[in-house]
Amino acid sequence: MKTDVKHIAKLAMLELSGQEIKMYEKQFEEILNLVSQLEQTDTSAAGESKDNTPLVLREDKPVPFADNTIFWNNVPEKEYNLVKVKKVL
Amino acid sequence: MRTATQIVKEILQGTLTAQAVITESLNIIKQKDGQIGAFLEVFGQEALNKAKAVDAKKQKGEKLGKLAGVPVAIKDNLLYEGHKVTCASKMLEHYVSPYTAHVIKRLEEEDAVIIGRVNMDEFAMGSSCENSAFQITRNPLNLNKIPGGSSGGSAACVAAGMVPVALGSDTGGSIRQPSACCGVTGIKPTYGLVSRNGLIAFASGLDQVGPITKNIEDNALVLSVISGYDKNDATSLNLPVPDYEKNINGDVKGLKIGIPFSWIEEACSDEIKQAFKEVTQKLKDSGAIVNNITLKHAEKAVCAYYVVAPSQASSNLARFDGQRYGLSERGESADLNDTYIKTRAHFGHEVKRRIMLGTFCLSSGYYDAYYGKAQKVIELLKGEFDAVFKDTDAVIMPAMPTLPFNLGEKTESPVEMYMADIFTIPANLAGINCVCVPYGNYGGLKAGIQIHTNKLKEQLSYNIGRAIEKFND
Repeated sequence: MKTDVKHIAKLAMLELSGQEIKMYEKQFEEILNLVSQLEQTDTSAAGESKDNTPLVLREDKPVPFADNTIFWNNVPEKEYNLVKVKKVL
Repeated sequence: MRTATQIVKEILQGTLTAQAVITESLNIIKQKDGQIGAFLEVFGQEALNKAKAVDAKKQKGEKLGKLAGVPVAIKDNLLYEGHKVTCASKMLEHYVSPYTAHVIKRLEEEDAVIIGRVNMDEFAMGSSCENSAFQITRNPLNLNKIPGGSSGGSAACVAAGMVPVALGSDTGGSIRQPSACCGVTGIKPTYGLVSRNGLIAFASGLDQVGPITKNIEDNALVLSVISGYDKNDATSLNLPVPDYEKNINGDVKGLKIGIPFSWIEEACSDEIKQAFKEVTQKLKDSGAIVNNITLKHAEKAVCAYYVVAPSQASSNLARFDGQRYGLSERGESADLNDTYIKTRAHFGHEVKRRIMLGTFCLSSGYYDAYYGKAQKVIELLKGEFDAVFKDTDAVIMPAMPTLPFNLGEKTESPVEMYMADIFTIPANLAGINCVCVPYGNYGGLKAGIQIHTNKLKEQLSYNIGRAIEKFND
């Protein structure tokens, strides 16, 4: 099966060169060929897949950082103490 | 270099100082790392200052921690406040950790000294450390061979005697496979035993942090320190942690050990088969009861893994969008999407491959056939291990089907590279613990033997690991 690598790259927000597209097309075929062994596995004995462990999340409470300089130093572009991004709408 | 246990003992006795230990470690790194390439950064002066503080504590008669003066290298996907953390990726080349990972806090609370950050496959994706955006790491046992991956730097720096302890992370074998390649000892703990807080996520449902050391005793000592409940990791288990290092006896008498002989026969090279014959015989001689088992779903684990892990990765790595941190390519266009696409082009080949594979498996029309099906296979695999552990204490398998291969040998074929993980993946999917110990000598290289026991039975894995370790004497 030939995978539409260009379409997947678009969904994944990745820019690929022509050479990369060629390489991934070939490799995807090999990988999906490996993964296709799953199809042949009889999974009728498995129940509807569900996680039994209840995940307990802690309360979503903001905690002030003593020093947030490191956060700000990691921001690529800022203005007036705000993260600057391109126009969204 | 002394083992961690020896260092702590001698520092407590007053016959050794932490400063002497750190100086020795820094000297060995200086001598050897030009050739090995394990370290991405060494925190030289800072480590010496920390050692000085440990010595001062000792002089004042204060109680020292369980890892007093022990130099520890950290895989470069663990956050350490104020230090760079890159995941060996261009995407995070200049990123500075805003806080410290729980495991590193625990090490420092016990007076360990963080000496530097070490190389890995980019975002922990790979089995040879060749996917690092920055450098190649060589296997100290044979410089032409891979050190394994993704925690290749961690295994290599321990094997080369630069440090007695390194932390790694294991999503599909990333601690055990490099441990096998470099002839050192590593553990993938039970899922939830060690906090993932401050570990940069790859596949959150599988990732675990664990130590790589020269021997079982040191490994158990470090695991006792880093394990335990952390409120900042929702999957952290709230259970008491034993002092694993205090109860290692290496006694396998009467233990029931299962080995999937036909799978090993089918998948492994002659050296690994030979190693297994010898280990099996020696276990029997030591009083263990060895049985043949079949793990038909574990044999499919690699297929399920390459659906589930990339799917989780594609979601986790969506955050690298060039807006808030990390590399950012703004481009000329006013379009926000342009920044996303141009920035994310800087991921390496393997990372892009897995993001796309995950995106594909989760995309409309394919989810049930891939992710849904893989989840069912994983459920059956878990049931398979549960059934085995009803009347078997441990399952033993090789860590790798072959001895480590040459650098560059498999970089063109991702599937061949993925097949290096066939024996390590089942433990991650089942959520159980697994220790890898080196055995034998094959032209200077070692075979890695994996001991799987049920969830939270790390002590039992260590005991059996100690027995196999002694077979080398």
